[in-house]
Formats: sequence, C-alpha cells, structure tokens
Amino acid sequence: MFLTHKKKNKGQENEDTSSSETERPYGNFYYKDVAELTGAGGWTVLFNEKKSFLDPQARKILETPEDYRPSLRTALDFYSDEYKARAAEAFMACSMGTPFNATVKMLRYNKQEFWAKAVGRPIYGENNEIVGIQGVFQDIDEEKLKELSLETSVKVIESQNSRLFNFAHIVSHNLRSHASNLSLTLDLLKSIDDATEEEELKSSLYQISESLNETINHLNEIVTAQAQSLDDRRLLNFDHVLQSTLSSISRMIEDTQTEIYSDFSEVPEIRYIPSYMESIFLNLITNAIKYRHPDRSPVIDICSYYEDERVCLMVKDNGLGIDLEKHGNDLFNMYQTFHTGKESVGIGLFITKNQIETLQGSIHVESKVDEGTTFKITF
Amino acid sequence: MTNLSPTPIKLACIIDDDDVYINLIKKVINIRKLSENLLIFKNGREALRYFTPIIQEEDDKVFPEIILLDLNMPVMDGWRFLEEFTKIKTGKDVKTTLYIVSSSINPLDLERAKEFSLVTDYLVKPVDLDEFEAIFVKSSA
Repeated sequence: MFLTHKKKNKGQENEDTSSSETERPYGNFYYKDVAELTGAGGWTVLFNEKKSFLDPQARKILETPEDYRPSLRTALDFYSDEYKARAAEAFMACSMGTPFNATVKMLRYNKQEFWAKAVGRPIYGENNEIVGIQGVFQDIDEEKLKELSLETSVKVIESQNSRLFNFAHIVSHNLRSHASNLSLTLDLLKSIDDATEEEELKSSLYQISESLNETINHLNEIVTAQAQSLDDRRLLNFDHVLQSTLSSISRMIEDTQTEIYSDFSEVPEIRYIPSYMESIFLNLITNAIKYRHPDRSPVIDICSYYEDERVCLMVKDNGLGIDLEKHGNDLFNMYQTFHTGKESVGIGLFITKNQIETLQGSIHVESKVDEGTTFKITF
Repeated sequence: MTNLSPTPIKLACIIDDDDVYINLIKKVINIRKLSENLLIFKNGREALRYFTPIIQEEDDKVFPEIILLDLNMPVMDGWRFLEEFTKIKTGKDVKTTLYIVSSSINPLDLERAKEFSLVTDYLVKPVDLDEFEAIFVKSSA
C-alpha cells in the first residue's frame, strides 16, 4: 500500500520538474544531487513487507558491495559497539512514533568507523498507523573530528591558563614575602642601637637577597622550560635518556641505594623534544627518590608501552605515597610540597606537566599512602 | 601604661615556614618586649600536634594568647590548619586571638578568611613595627 503511495509521489515529482524545466537552465536539482552534495544517505524499513532499503548514496557511504541486501537483522551492524544499544533504542522508539536525531559513530561495511548525523521518523499508513520507519544519515566524520580536536585544544588551553594564573600568583606571593622581610629588616635596623643586633639584621639582609635570587632562578627555570618549539623534536631512545639521567644523579642513587628497573622493549623510541624528555625523567626519578619510604630503599619501575595507539610511559615507585583525595588537585601546582624536607622545592611536577601538555600529552597519577606512587604519561 | 611600654603577654605563637621572617619577628618581640614567651611552628601540622592535647585537656600546657598564622606553608597550609583546628571538639573555653599574617593579597583569600569566626583579622605582610605592637597591646588590654 505504501509502495503504491510512493509511486504516486514520484509521478508527481516528475510532473513538477518537467513543468519548471524552463526556469532552471542549469539542470534539475534532484534528490540524488542533494544527497551526493551533502553526503546524506537514506534508508527505509517497512514492517509489513519485512523489507529494508538503502538508497545509492547510503550504499556509497557504507561502502557496501553491489549485491548487498539490507535487512532489519543486520541494520545494527552499521553502528559501532558503543552506539549499538542506543541505536536499537532509537529504532524501537521510532517504530512507536518518536522521531530521533542524533550524532553517532557508525561503521562502514569494512568495519571502518565514521561519525554520522542520523535522523529518523516513523512512516504512517492510510489509517494513521505506523507502517515503517525511514531516515537519513550524513557522513560528518571530518567535521566531528575537527570538533573533537577543538574540544581537546580548549581543555589544554584552559589548563594552561589555570597554571599561568597559579604561576602569576606564586610569583607575586614569593616576591612579596621577600620584599616584606626586607622592609621589616630595615624598619628594625632603624629602631635599634645595639651593635650585635645590628650585625644580625645585616646578615638577614644577605639571607633575603639569597632567597630572592633563588626565587628568580626558579622562574628562569620555568621560563626556559616553556620556551622550546615543536621543531626541536628528535627521535629519542628511551633507554639512552634514562641512562644519561641516571649518570647525572648517580650520587643520589648510590647514597639512597635506589634500584631502578626499566623495560622499553615495547616502544624503544619516540619523537620528542630532548630537553623535555630529560627533564621528565629527571623530575619523576628524583621525586621518587626524595619521597622514598623511610623503612625501605627505593625501587623504581619504568616502562614504555602503547595504549590506544599512543605512546605511554609509566614511572612507579615504592615511596611515601600521597593522599590524592586531599591533595590531588594541588599536586602539579607550583610550590606545593606535601612532605617536610629540605629537598622539597615544589616546581618539578609543575614543569613536567607543562612540558607534557605543551606537546598535547597528559600526565596522571595514582598513589597510596605508605605504598607508593605511579605516574603515567601519555605522549 | 602607655603605648611605649605595654604589659607583655605571657605566650605568643607563630606558625610560618619563612625562617627570615621568624627571626625578624623574634627580634621585634624582644626589642619591644611584647611577649614573655614565643612558640614557633613551621607548618599547620606541627602546630596542630601541639595544640590538640591542650584543647582536649590531656595536657595542661598554657595556650598562647596570640597566634600569627601564615597561609602558604608546606605539609599543612594555613587553611587546612584552620579547618582542622575548628573541628577539634572541646568543652574548654580557649581564649586566643588569631591573626592571619600572609603576603597574599588575593581578594579570594581575604574573603575566605572571613568564613572563619576564629580569625580576628587578616594582616598583609609586611606588617610594620607599630602595627605589630598594636596587636599585642590590644590583646593584653
């Protein structure tokens, strides 16, 4: 019944176009052209006839073989696993009368994934009963991927922004503390006349100047750490970087009897900025040693591997660990130290995170107090 | 009786990680004879460890009349100290005046300080000599 109805429609279409042909000298702008230009394919499912149809554009998008015969049974094969349940639900709801409009990940005949915008609606028969469903899906892979990469960029920029804010804040705070110590010292110098007191105050002037220099050195370190460009990427061998890092801190390793195990067999090399990689290794390893557990000598495991086609690096220690529920958000901030000790400065992880994110990577941490900490970098 | 020679208080306390600052404050207190004794803690955790037994009456040490609290400190910062300190249950009426003394001029910090009824005032470093003296005079009066 529906098919005859459709035929009638087609007839009308033809009549329409023929009558207006003179007004369109550049030819007829038909459904087929629209479908081709927009990359939109149509499909129809008729319940009574138990038949499914895919139009030529839909077949082209899905890359189905010439003799492919669509059926309701295999319709879900064209949706990626994560969207199958949702697609089935949408089809069911549509057959009950609710149209759908969604962005989903679909699969071509060869199982290759692509993003699509899919809309569907019920088909009504003569007595207003639902006799089938029909819809259109449009290949929006290119646009969607751009959108996703924009989203990632926004996140990176947001986090860089918040770190910049943190940075500016700390700079202001630290410079202010030195300045205030300076003015307090001068204040005191003015108000006393005892010679020994005066000497002591003068020595505190030296101390202040020293701390001021130290702060400025930290700032320099951060600025130079961020001033590298992408062009400086080189093919690096993980093991070479590790060995050169270890030799630069061999004293520290010996004194603390640190054991270091590494396995770079899965991914031996990566293209990266050499100074960044050296600083990442140095910061994570020295951190693991600085915050070692008092009851055992430090053991550090380092390995590289692939996850979701991206190179990852894991650095795992058996140190003090850190309460991430309390400190999670602050861990990568500047001048945040969680353990007492002269060696704690609090700029290492700040720099590390900055360098990794500059190259679109990410760093995550897992930790248990008294058990140890694991850093995972995705490059 | 006059501002020049206030009656010194018995015990003051500084919670701050800046050694230079601590030395300077020690001098100020000695020179101006502002307090007879001085307690110094390098971070909130150390201070809390000392105060908790006193408040819970497990220890009869004297409680400081004035506490000068820094905000940015390692291990446990000033904010966490205030949170933890407020949480300690006590039947004892602890009489102390707590000042935040910080170099942070962040308006958010000033706002946050107002949320703690424990905090008498927020002083921005540098605090000059007369300002210091004024705090101690107020407390001994």
